[in-house]
Amino acid sequence: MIDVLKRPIALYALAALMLTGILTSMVAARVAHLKNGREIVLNIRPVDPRDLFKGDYVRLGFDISQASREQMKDFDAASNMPVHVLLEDAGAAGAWRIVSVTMTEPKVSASQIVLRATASGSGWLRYGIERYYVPEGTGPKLEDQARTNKLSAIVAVNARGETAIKGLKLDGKTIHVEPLL
Amino acid sequence: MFRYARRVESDLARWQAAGWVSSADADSIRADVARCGIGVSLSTALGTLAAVLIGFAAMSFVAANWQSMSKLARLGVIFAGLWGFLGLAYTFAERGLRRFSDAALLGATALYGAGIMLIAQMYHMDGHPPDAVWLWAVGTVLVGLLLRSNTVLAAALVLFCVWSFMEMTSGFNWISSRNATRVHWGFLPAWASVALGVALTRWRPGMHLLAAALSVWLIFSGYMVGRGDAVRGHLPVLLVGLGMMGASIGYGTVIDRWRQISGAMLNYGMVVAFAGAFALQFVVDRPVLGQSGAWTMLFGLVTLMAIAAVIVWGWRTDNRAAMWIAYGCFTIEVFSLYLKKVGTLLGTSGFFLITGLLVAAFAYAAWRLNDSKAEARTAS
Repeated sequence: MIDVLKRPIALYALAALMLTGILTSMVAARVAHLKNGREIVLNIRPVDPRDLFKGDYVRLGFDISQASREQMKDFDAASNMPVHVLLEDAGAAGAWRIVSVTMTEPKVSASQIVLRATASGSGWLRYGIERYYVPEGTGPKLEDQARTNKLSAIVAVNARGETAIKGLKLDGKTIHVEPLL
Repeated sequence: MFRYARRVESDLARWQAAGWVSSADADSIRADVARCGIGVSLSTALGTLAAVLIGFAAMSFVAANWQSMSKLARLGVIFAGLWGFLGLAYTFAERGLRRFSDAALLGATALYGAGIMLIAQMYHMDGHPPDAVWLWAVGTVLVGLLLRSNTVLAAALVLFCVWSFMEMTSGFNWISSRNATRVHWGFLPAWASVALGVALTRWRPGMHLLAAALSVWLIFSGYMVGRGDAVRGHLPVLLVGLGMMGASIGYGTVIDRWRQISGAMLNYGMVVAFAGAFALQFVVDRPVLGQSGAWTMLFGLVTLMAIAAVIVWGWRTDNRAAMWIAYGCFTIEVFSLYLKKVGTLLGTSGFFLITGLLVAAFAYAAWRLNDSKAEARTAS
C-alpha cells in the first residue's frame, strides 16, 4: 500500500470549499427561484407522514394534481415521465385548472402558466412541491386547520416551469411566509 | 484481529515445538502482532463509530426542523461542523493518526449529506429523491479521491449503491416499479470513479467491495430486465459469471502475474453465474427451458456438476473461499430442486440418487488424485 497519510493542507481546504460550494449553490439557486419566480396560489389537501432524514412534513395534494383520462390519453399507463402542464387561471384565488398535459412545451396566453411535472399513467401529476416540512409535532395541527378551513400554497414558478413553495394561506390569509435565508 | 492473534499464537506454539522457530523469534513475532494489532483496530472501529454517531446527530438535528434558528444559522452550524471535521482530519493526519483522520473525513462527508437534507427541508424540495443521494455520493467520492481516504471511498460506494437501488426501484415506490424493466447504467461510471480511488490507494479490501457491489448490481439488473424477458435478463448474468470463471481458470497465471486476483475472480464469477442460473431455474415465471421435468432435471444436473467441479478446482488451487461458496450454492440448489420437484416425488428421488452417485464418483476421483500426489511426494 502506498503512503496515503499526508496530504497538503490546501487539499483539505479545497475539499471543504468544494463541499460548502455545492451546498451554497443549492441554496443560491433556490433563493433566486423564490425571489424571481412568478407567484401563483394553489389549493391544497394535506396528510402528515414523516421523512426518515428530514423530519415531519405535511404531504400536499393540489386540485391540479390529478389530470383527467382525456388529458392523459397519449401517455403510457406505466410511465413516470416529465411533462408540461398548462394551467389556466379560473378566476377565484387558487382556482387554477389543467388545460393540457403535453410532452413538449405549449404556447401560453397571459392568463395561463406552464408547470413542469412528472406524470404517472393514472393521471397523477407530481410537481416537486408535495412536501411541506414543519417543526416536529406541528403537522397534525396544520392538518386540523386544513380540514376545517381552506388551505392553499403560495408557489413561485421560474422561467423553466419549476416550482417552489413560498408560503401558506389559510382562508385567503397568509399564515406563513418562508424566509429566504 | 483477535482471531489473527490467536491463530499466530497457536501456530507459533506448534512451530516452536517442531523446532522451526526459536523462542527469541517467537517473542519478536508476538511483539510485532501486539504492536500493529488490536490497538489500531479498536481505535479505528471506535473512531468510525463516533463519526457515524455524529453524522446521525446531525441528521436528527435536521429532522427536528428547529425554527428557533434562522436558515442561515442552521446552515452555519453544518458548515462549521464540516470545516471543523476537515481541520481535525488534517491535524490527525499530520500527527500520523491516519485511522482517526479517516474517521474525521467520514464525519465531514456525513455533515455534507446532512447539509443536503437540511437545504431540501428548509426549501421544501420534493423532487426526485435519488438525486439527493447522488449529490451526496459525488461530494463524498471527490473527497475520497482528493484526500486518498479508503474509508470515505467505501462510504461513497455504499451511497452510489443506495442511489442506484433507488433509481432502479423508482425511489422505493414498489407499486410503480412493478413494471420497471430498465437497467441503471449510470451506476457504472459512478462505480468507476470509486474504482479509480481504490486503484490509486491500492486498497485490496476496497477491490473486494467494488467486486461485490458490481456483482450485486449485475444480478439485480438481471431481475429488472428479467421481469419481462428471462432470456434477456438472467442469461447474460449467467454468461458473464461463466466468462469470469472461464477467464480465471484458463488465464489464471497470466492474470496473477498482473495482479493476484484470479482466485477472487473465480469466486465472484461463481456467485454471479449461480445467481443467473438460479433465477433461470426457479424465479422467473416462464423459465427459459420450459416447465418440463426433463429440462429441470438437465439444468439442475449440469448446475450441480458444475458446482462440484468448482469444489474440485478450489481444492486443487487451495482456494478455500471458492469451496465454501460452492458448498453454499450446492445447498441452495439441492433445496430448491427438492422444493420444485423434478416431475413427481419419485422422479425427484431418482434425480437426487443419480446426482449423488455422480458426486460420489467425483469424490472418489479426487481421493485417487490426492493419493497419487501423496505417493509421488513420498517417492521423491
